[in-house]
Amino acid sequence: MSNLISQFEDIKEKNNSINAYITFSDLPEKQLITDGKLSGKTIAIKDTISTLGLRTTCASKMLETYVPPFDAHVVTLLKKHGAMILGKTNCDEFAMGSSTEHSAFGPTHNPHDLERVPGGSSGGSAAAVAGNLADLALGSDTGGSIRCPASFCGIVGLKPTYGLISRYGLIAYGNSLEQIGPMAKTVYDCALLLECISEYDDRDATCIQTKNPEYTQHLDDDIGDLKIAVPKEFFGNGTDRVVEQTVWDTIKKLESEGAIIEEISIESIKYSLPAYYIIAMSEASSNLARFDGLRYGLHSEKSNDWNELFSKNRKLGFGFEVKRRIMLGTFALSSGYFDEYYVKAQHVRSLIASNFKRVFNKFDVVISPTMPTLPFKIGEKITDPLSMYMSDVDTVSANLAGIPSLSVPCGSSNSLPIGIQLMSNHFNEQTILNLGNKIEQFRGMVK
Amino acid sequence: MLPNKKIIDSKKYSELSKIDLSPEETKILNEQFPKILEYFDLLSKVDTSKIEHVESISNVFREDIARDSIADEILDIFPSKKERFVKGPRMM
Repeated sequence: MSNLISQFEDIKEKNNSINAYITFSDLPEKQLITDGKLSGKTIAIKDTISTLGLRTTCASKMLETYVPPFDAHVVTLLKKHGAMILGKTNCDEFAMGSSTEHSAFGPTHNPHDLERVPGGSSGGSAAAVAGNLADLALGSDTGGSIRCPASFCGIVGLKPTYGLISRYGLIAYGNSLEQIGPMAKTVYDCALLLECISEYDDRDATCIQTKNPEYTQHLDDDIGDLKIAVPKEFFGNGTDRVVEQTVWDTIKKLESEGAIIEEISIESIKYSLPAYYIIAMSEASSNLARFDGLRYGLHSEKSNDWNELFSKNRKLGFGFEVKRRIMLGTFALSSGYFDEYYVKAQHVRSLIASNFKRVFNKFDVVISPTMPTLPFKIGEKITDPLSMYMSDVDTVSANLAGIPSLSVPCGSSNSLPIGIQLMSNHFNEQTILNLGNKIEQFRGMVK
Repeated sequence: MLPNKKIIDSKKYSELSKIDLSPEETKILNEQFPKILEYFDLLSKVDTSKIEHVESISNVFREDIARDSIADEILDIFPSKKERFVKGPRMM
């Protein structure tokens, strides 16, 4: 324990340059559970996930002083399995962003190059793991928020199947799209954390009862000659040559090891990004209506007019990106525009989901780059929202279709990490974890 | 036919969203919204007339049994209250 306390002081010191954490825990005097699956492991938790007695801000001024009176289901499970929670990590405000620059607590820096973004929105969680400020981390992924920072920081991150993990205690942004998921240095640790947090919870009506697979037990099982589809739409105009080349090198390596590779086309993928943003913003405008400062969160001076008071509280509490998304979502749901935007986006979502379903009748896995580019410089995209939204072009389809998606490091360019994205059919996490494990092994990573 | 982008009016949607905007914020959003909506309008090119809905939707029930409540802890957080009620501004 004394060792851990001195390590904790080092972590706090290192955090000064990375800014991965917003709030540190008070470490317990002794490890309470010594024989849990996660005993001896330290973990960082994204600050959108509620922790009893530990400040949970969503990286927003709105919740700067909010201390939840309950634990999220996943946090209860982490404690049950003996994980040592080190603190709460930085992210884009209310998980809205792809760079962790939209935080009321300043940007997080990529441990591989402090002038670059760690990706987002779970950038603090990814940077904590990559920078050795925690063994494991939890993120949440609405349109790529686990996989994007995992790719940019050179770690492993999984967005599970929609419904595998309870969202009880996850502060909602786009609730029909998002899942909490594991982030770690290795596929093994990612699988270990996944099996600890995927326990059914009836407090989330979208949580689906499964038989709690032991992912780590089967990680080295022979997966045979997998049939892998590579949709050309994931290698569009905005994809860096070096990213495309590195991902294809990995695909060719898989082919030489026996996988059957086929290039295919899923045309609807081209429309996934606008469909995703319309749905996510619409859900955000509704989910964030609860932040009015009346019961908790930031509240300004008294006003005798509720309309004026709420509008003032929300003006002071929300950052500019959150305001932009709430307003666009309100627009997409408003009378006269609802059918053209929201309903149309839902139809496109169904089309994308049915297209993926068809692909998985024939193939086991779909592969793409996780991110179209290398980690960009801090400040590079912050004033151009559309260009920032485009960063999510390869990740949002998995959220629209509700399928599991894993990002695994597959190479680097000028010391900047590149991630490969592995997607599979609903509840088929084991297949992509095993494939990720194989990629890790032939890259010579230590398990 | 999709609506004319010019119609999106930051002031109207700021009122509907219950978010006061500064004149500077309004100016930036008025510049950005048409570009973002033009991108969203890509969806008009997709033929969705024969969409099959693949999501399986079903009701989820649980037993209606009493559980421990954290009502008192939640009440503790209210910035302004009277007895066990949150106190807010006048509605009318």
